[in-house]
Amino acid sequence: MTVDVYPSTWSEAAAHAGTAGAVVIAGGTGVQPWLSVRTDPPPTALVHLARVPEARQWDRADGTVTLGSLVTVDNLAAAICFGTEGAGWFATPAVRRRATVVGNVVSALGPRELGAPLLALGARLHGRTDASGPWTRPVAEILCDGIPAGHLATGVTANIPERLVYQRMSARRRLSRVELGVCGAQGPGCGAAVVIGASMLPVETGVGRGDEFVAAIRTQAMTVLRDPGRLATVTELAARVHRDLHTRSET
Amino acid sequence: MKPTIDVDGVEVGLPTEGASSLWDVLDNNGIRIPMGCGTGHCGACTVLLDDTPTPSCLVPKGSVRGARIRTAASSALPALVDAMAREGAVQCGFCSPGVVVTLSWAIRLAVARHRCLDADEVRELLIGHLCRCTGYQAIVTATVSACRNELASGDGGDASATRS
Amino acid sequence: MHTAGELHAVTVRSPTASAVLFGVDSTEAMRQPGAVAVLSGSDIPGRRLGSKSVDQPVFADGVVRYHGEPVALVIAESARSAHDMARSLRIDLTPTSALLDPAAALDPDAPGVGPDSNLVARHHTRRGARRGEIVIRRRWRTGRQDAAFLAPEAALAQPHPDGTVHLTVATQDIHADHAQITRALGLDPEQLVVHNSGIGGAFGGREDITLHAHVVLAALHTGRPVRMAYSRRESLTGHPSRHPMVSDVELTCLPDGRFVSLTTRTVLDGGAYASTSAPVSAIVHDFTAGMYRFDAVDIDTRVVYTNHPPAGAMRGFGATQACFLIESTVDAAAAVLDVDPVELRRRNLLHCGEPLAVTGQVLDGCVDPHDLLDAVLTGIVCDAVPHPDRRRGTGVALGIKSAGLGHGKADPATVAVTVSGGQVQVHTSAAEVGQGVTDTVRRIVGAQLPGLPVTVVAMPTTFPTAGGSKASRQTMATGGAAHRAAAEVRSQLDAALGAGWTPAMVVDLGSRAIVHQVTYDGPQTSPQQPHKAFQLVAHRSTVDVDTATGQIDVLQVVCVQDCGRAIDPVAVQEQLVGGTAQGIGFALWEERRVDADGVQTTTGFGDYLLPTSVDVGEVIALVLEVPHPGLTWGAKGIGEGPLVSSPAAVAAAVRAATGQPVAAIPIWTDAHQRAAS
Repeated sequence: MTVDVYPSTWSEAAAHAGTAGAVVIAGGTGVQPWLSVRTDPPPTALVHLARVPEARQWDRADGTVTLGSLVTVDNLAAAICFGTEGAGWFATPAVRRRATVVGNVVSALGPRELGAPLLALGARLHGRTDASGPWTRPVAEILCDGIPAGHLATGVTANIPERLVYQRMSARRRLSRVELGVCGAQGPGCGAAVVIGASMLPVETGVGRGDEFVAAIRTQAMTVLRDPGRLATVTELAARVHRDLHTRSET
Repeated sequence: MKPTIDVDGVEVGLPTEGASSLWDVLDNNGIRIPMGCGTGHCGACTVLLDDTPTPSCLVPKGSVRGARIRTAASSALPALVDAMAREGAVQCGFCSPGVVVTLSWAIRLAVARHRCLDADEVRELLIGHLCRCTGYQAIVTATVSACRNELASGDGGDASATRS
Repeated sequence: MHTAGELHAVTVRSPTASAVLFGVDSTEAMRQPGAVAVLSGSDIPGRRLGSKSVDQPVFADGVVRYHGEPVALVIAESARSAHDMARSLRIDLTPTSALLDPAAALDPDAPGVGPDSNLVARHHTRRGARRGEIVIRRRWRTGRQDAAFLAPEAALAQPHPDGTVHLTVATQDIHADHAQITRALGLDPEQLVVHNSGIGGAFGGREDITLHAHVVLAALHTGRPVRMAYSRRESLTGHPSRHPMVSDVELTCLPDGRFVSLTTRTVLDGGAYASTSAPVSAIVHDFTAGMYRFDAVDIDTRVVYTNHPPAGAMRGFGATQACFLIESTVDAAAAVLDVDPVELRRRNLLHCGEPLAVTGQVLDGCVDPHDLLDAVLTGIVCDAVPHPDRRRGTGVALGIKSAGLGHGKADPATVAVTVSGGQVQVHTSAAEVGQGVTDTVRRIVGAQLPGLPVTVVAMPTTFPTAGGSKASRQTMATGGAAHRAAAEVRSQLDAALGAGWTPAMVVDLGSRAIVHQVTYDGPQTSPQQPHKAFQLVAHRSTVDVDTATGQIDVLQVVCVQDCGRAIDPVAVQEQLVGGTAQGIGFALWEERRVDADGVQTTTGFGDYLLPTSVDVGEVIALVLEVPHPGLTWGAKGIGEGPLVSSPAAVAAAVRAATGQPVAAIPIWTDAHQRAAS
């Protein structure tokens, strides 16, 4: 017996999210296909965040942007994730209008495409539980461990970059999983990230010197990657990211 | 009061339990929308949800209480439908209703801004729609042509117009 | 399609590729709310399906032979209940050793999959013994493409008060389905009527029985209407794929590039059941040498059973694989000889009037291959400067396939044309799969009866067969029948009203009907003339390849095909563009992946990658018309041609851009599967 619930505060939402078998619905684009074919027992509750006013808000302060968990990927506030390339590489236009930045990065069901840009932006995820209130953790930890069962993600804070470049290898240019990727961002608190299959790893590096940048990416990649061909690809992608971060031309 | 949606001008009740999608609700009420994949890749199930093209398989029914849904039946732009027939842009026709929803919406928006869609824009708009039969080219040609005709017809159309 | 009071049925499928099947335990399933019944192999022992070889049980019967094989059917009051039943059905099986390597299928110790042996069919042609000094040897591989039509399988079976069952299903051939279902379920032919529903694409994937027998069985068992609908995931396993191919090829030639001999050893993976493997292998065989002149050929083509999902019909029907095989070999020869690939083709292409190298059938009734090559080279190659991170390449491929069934097989179609009340009705059971047969027939009939409105009426199995919408045959078969029926009606009108009759005069005839029905099967084929007509097609593709990632962007493809006569020019154009797009998908990404245990891991459009609107580039379609003297209006079938040479042309372009051998398609998926393993 799955019921729809509509909390109007974070506190209520966290309480619902903490009940056994509850599933939180932000944009719903990752969750609904799973709900339609799931093989486990049905959820007890679908917790809709639509009526929590703070969920839709976003805020700029001190060189950072904070996005509430209902801020969609196509929102201008989320543009920091995409650089001058724009969001066209992310899913489809229809999905961009509904999928949320926070939902994308916490959902265990999907490919978490925004993990790499958010790592490069030094992002931190905000969550809360019914019992112990709000917490904040680096997105790197969330990408590794997920958010604990029963917890609720309320927002994400990322540093505003001067520039961001994401070079990716995927089957099709659009709508294909990133198999290898390097994302670099220039600005206070920014860094880089490398994607190798399902692994998304932060790389703490300045983006000033190309050889240092590429070496740092390569070193991090080698913690999960052995194949010399793919390592060569990652290295080249890193070189391109550095190049594009330092050229004046449009991407 | 049972929650409802407005589908092509008709009130349809939403279930208050279960985990169905908007597509399921439409199908259970005899409103037949093509279903190609259930994962948001093919766009065959696209409807206008509060005036925005949306794959109905991706929308939890609990997210749309009070919403306004328009299917191809009430939102298709006749000039586009005609152009698609002329250009051979309909072969099996399964992708067509979803494509027509998205491209009718886009043409109306463009015309309201007194501009015409170009081929590259139409290709971008078609991301999220899969067509297995036509290779997309005729759909693109038909859309540019229909947009041009709508602009030329002078009354400019209405960006939010649907036959309700 | 829905009906009041309908039940819902869901197929339960094997989780493993090879097993001894003891049975199913339906206790838990029948406890689900809304549960009605469970059917399995023990309910219909020994009942088999198969379009050529009747080797496929309706439900796995004691043995499971492929991952996804139907084991049982659950029937419930609602779709949700049926899925709950399916989840709780217990299958009692013990996995056994699976045969997954087609090369090992004929080894003495290979697990037995086929009914007699693991060989479905073998063809061998040997002629001449000359060899050239230059020897080129290569191995070529093609993958498991799926039809991936956009509308997943769905059907409704309704018992009628008169004891019949009416099945409404999307299919390429209602009569062939009718024959298979009635035979498999032990029904009298009159007991079943099959209606075609609207068809959301086919491409060969609707030639086999998928849910048809299951849903009819459920309706018979319950006495109630039953509906079934596959999800995309089930559709991607539920119908046969294209045959994967491995081919070892040796081409010898003289130093000046003239081809001397071609030797091939080709193995097709037919999967667990025969489906259309035998005729597919015949097409691969017949067109292995393409349109090239060879003094000597030694061609061995075989298709084997394995515990992979069954392979069957898919647009191209073997000619796609043959084209990749021979065109890639010609490219390899050009590289060895350091000759331009186009020039090497010119030196070796047949002219019309010469015999094809494998079948010996004279190539005629079509454009000259040299003119075809010239045509595909016309037009502007895209001249935009490539991105510095990318390299550009252009490649060409020529393709040939038959149109029509060939090899002496019966290939009939029946059409009835009726004029009454000033209107023309054309009755046909030809399946409109989106290819445009309806409009083609309307034009053919309308040409004989000018000024009269023509309506095409789709008929169920109570009307004679049109044959399947497959093998690029309907324009010739149904078009031929329609032409002859309309011609007879025309002469009757001429006799009744005088040769200069006007539509108004026909209206004045009132409701008096002039009817003529024709069954047409022509032109005839024979062992000496195995094919009634040839589809000749060529593609030229230009791609940019990323130097670091290997990602491929298709910029432009030119497609040229000789259609004999374009009855519906827009439709022909659209077939060329659409088939080319499918060819791009097969060249680059499309693969139903199967793991080392024979389990298919591809489950949806997130991993079965179709070309999107931005993946197709600019497709320039050029329709050639070289009327075939033996065909109605000189028009021949064209549906498959666009998917015959497009994959080879894209592969050739990638070779030109990268210098890589590109030994297998799909290129991306193959490379990454190998890297991952």
